[in-house]
Amino acid sequence: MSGQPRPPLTVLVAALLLGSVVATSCSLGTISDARVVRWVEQTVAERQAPPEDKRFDEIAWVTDIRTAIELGKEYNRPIFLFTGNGRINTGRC
Amino acid sequence: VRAYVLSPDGHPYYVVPTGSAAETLGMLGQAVGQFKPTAGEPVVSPGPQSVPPAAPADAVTLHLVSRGNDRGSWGQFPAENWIVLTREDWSKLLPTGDVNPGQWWELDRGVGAKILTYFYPQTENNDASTDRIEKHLLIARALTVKDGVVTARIDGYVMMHHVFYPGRKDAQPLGAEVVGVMTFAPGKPPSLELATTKAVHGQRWFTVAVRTVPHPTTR
Repeated sequence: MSGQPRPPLTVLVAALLLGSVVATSCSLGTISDARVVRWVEQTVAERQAPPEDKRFDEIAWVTDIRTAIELGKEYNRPIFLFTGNGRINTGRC
Repeated sequence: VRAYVLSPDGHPYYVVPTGSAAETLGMLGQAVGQFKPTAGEPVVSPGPQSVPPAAPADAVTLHLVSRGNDRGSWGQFPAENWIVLTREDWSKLLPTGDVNPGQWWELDRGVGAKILTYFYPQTENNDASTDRIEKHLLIARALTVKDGVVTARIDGYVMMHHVFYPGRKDAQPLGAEVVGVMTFAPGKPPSLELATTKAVHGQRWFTVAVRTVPHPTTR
């Protein structure tokens, strides 16, 4: 589906109003064409994880137990073993 | 989640309590006392643990960050996803032929679903199958065309039901409204950024941001 010059914003709005769970008001179209590029750039940048949320990355992890044991023996260091069901590294766990 | 301290040769020493940072640190301190390791730098270099997957050179890799507006517990750390769009995928996002300012087109729904299916906050359930999606739409409209490069705005939404805990039957409704920008030259991989303007899962509000990132290549 394509065309010009008018986008089917009314289609979007109608679709949302017909069955939306997004509260009572619709935000579509509230960001003008003049602002949209800057708004998206800024908003996407602001939503990146800040360093304080990535302190997990400051730990020297290896991702398999065999490597950990090899290193433990080589450097005579105990091993901190973290187990979990999911992906702790992405927060999808 | 379970954490353990093992001896240097891999034998279990203790289950590490993870209820609080203080408890965890206390146990690690005991382990240091027990094994008396020599202080020094980490034996491997720390680095980012969430990294883009290897993908074909002509693929587009998207990085998504999603986060509930709450903090603590499930809201404490953001969730991330890496979404790889093959050439076949991203080609379906672009219009055919010349593009003029004001021209609009609908983004391929299958490819749109591959992205929008990850528009949910941090939950224990991470079934991101696209058949959860009930309605979705992404519309592009060209804002400018300069030296063959098109800048288009994206407007759209997704509606689905998503379960917080795996295996439960109490899926809650989820709705998100999306605005974005896509920049592309004909036949070339596009750069895409998306952000929610309003998104809620049940009674929990959340935000999502998506951006195009470089990726290691498979060939």
